[in-house]
Amino acid sequence: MRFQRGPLMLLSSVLLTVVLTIYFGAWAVSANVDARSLRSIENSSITPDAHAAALANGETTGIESSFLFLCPFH
Amino acid sequence: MPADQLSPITYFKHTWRHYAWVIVIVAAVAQMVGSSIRMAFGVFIDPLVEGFGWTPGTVSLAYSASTVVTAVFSPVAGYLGIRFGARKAMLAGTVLFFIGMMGTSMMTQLWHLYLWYGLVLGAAQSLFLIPVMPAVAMWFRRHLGLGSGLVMISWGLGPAIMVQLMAYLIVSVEWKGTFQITGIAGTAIMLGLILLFRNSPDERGSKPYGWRIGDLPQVTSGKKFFGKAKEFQGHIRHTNAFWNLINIHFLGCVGHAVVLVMIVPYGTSQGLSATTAAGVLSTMSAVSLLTRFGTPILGDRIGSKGVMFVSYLIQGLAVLLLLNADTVLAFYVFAFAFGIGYGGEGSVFSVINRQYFGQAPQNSTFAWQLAGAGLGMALGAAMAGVTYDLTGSYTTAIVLSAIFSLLGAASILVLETTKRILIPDWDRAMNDPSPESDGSAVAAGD
Repeated sequence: MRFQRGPLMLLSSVLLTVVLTIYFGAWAVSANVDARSLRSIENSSITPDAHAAALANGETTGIESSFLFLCPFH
Repeated sequence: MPADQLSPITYFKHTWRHYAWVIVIVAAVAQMVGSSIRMAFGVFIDPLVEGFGWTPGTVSLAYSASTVVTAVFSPVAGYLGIRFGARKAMLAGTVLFFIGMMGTSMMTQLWHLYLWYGLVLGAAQSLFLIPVMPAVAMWFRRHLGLGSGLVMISWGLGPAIMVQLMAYLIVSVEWKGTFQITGIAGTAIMLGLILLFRNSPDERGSKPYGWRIGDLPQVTSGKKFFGKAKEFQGHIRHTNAFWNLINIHFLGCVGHAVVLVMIVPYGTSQGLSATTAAGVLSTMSAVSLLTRFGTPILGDRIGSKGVMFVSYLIQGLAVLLLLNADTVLAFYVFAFAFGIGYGGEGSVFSVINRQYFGQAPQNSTFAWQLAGAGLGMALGAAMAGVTYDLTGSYTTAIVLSAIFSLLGAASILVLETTKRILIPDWDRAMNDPSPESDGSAVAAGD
C-alpha cells in the first residue's frame, strides 16, 4: 500500500485533538468529582474526630460514599 | 507587454469595468450580511442573560452549536453549490436566514435559541459562505489572488462594522427588534445581491477576468459539467494536498480561535483596561485586513505554499509574545505581529486550490476545507475556556495555540509544489469531444 502523506497528516491532527479532549476531559471530570465530594463532606458538618468516633463505634456518617478522585492533574 | 505579464494592479486599471468586480462586491457584501449575527454574537449575550435568566455559558453554547453546524453542513452546501449553482444556494441560504432570524426574535425557551440560532442560522451561514468563493474563482481565469483578496477583506471588515451596528440597534430597539430589523434588512439586501449575481461568465455571455486568446472555452453548466465535476472531485480526493489542506486549515483556525476568545480577558488580567484590551483585538483585526488582501495576491504571484507557511509561522510565534506581555506596548506589538499571520492564515486557500487543481470547480474542495476550519474554530474557542477553568490561567491556551499553528506550518512544508497541477487538466477534459477522456496534467505556470 502506498504511503499517503495527506490523510496521515489529517489523521494525526484528529488524534491530537482526541488525546487533548481525553486529557482535559478527564481533568475536568476528576476535578468536578473532587469538588462535589469535598462539598458534600463540608455540608455534612462532621468533624474528623466525630467521623473517627463514629467509625470506631461501627456507625456510619453518610460521607463514606463521598468519593475523592484526587485529580492527578492538580 | 502581454496582458498576462502585467501586475494585477496595472491589469486592473485597464479592466476595472469587467463584471467580475461586480461579483466580487456582491460576494463580499453577501458574506458580511450573511454572517452579521454570527460575527456580533458577543453583544447579544448580556441582553439574553438579563432577559431570560440564562447563564452566559448556556447562551454561548448556541454560538458553538452554530459554528459546528456550519462546519458539518459545509460539504452539503458545497454539493448544492455545484448541483444548482451558487445563486440558488445563496437564495436557499437567504430563506433560511430570514426564518432563523425571525424564529430567534420570537424565542421564549432556551431550546428555541439552539434551534433557530444554532441550527437554522448555522446552516444559512454555510450556504452564504461555501458556494460563493468557488463562484468568484470561476469569474477569474487569471489574477484570482486580487479577486479573492478583495473578498477576504470582508471577512475582517465584517466583524468591525457589524459589532458596532448591532450594539447600536440593541440599545435602540432591544434584542428582539435587532434580530427582526437585521433579518428583514439582511434578506432584502441579499435578494438584491442575488439579482446581480451570476454563477459564471457563461451566464452573462462574457469571458472570465484575465481571459486571453488561445484559452480553451470555459464550460460551467450542463450535464457534462456536473458529471465531470464529480469525476474531478474524485481525482482531487486522491491527492495528498486535498487532505492536508483540510488539516492545515483546521490547525490554523484552532491557533487563532484561542486568541480571539481569550485576548480581551487575558489583557485585563495582565493590567490592561477593558478599552485598551478591546483595542488590542481591534488592532489585530485591522492589521489582518492588510494580509487578507495581500497574501492571495502574493500567493498568486510567487506561489501559495511559501506565503501560507510564513503566515502560519508568524501566527504561531507571535502568540508566544503573550507569555511575557504585561505592558500596553507589549500587547500592541503582539497585536501587530499576530494580525499579520492571522490575516494570511485562511486567505490563500482559493488561490492554492487553483494552483493545485487548475480550473476545476472548487466547491467541494473549498467546502471540506471550511469544514475543517469551522471545527478548528469551535475547538479553539472551547480549548481557551476549558483550560482557563481548569488551570486558572491562560498559559496553557497560549502554548496550545502556538503548537497548533506551528503544526500547521510544519504540515504546509510537506505539501507538494504549487508549480504543477496535481490532477488532469479540467479545460481539456471539458473541451474534449470524447466523453471518456479526462485530459492530462500540464504545468500551472504560476
